[in-house]
Amino acid sequence: MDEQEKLSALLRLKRYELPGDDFAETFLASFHRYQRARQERRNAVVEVWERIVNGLEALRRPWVSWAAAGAYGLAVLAVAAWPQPDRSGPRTAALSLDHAPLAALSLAAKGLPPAEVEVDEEGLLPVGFRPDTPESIPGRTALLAAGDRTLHRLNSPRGIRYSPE
Amino acid sequence: MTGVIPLPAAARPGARPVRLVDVPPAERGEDEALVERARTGDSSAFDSLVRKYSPRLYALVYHMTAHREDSYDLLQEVFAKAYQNLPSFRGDSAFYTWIYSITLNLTRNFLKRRGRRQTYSLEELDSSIDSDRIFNALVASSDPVRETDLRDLQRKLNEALQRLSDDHRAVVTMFDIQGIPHAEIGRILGVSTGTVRSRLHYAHRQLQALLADYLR
Repeated sequence: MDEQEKLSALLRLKRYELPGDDFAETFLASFHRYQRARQERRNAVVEVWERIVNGLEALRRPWVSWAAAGAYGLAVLAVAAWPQPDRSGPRTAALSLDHAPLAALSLAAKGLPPAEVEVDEEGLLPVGFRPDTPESIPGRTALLAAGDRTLHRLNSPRGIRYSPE
Repeated sequence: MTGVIPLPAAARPGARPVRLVDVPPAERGEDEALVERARTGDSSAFDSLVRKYSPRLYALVYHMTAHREDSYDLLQEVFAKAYQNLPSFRGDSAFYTWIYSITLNLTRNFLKRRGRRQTYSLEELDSSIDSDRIFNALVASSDPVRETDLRDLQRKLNEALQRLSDDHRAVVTMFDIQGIPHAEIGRILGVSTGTVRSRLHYAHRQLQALLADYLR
């Protein structure tokens, strides 16, 4: 025997690795069980899928569309009709006691609303003065030279001065 | 069509492969009739196909995987898939060619998933090997084979086969173990006869190197 013939002969050993005479019948019975289990799993998956599809189908009915449109419209109206906080109060509100108690007391004592605050002869604003907006700084336009965008606040015991530098 | 029916070679060791031209037309048409009945919902017809092909397909998967339980599970998948795809089976090829292809594809996928986690679960050797004339000639001519326990030899042989690539192991299984001729293997694998011969050549060379101790 040459090497190839010996290999072929050796490989014949594999033909004798057999599962037994009743293999086909045993396997068939096992295959039936396997198919049943597979079918049951498949049925469960199909059932869940059908429920999802039916749920989605329901969304395509006219009454659901009208109901959804109505709900959307109500939501828009509710947002539009919701009471808004009043932001149009007097400008004095910007003079917070927390931030400038002295100025508030001083101005209130003088009966002057912040819009009427003016610089004195020395160009000073009352001690504790706080503008409610940058635009409400008295003389701001005159103080800002061309190109300057910032006013610096200078505090002194006699009053407040705003300067571009 | 010429070629060989994939024989129950594992079920009938040493049996001569039966050429398709030798098979009576009635037997050749038997599969077609069963397939046709199964397609119309006759489950007993499909059962007949399972009975007929499960031993040889089991052998194919088992020789590819060297694992009994995995082979059994895979074979169930094979028949389940065949049953599911039966409506799309157009009969362009013979049923056995079709189901062999399904079996090999599923087995290849399984082997890819398994990767290198190879474990062995081998079938018992049938005692009728004692009367195999060709194997006995090998035993008589080879001291290493004679001196090795059959179980050890079986183990070595399986280990060597598992060292082959899946494609090479497939052709060795079908040609050397199951006795399917080159042309039929080519049809099952969807490759030319030349490719089948080439794969066999390289697979044999590799096996000769791996089993050199027993082939002296």
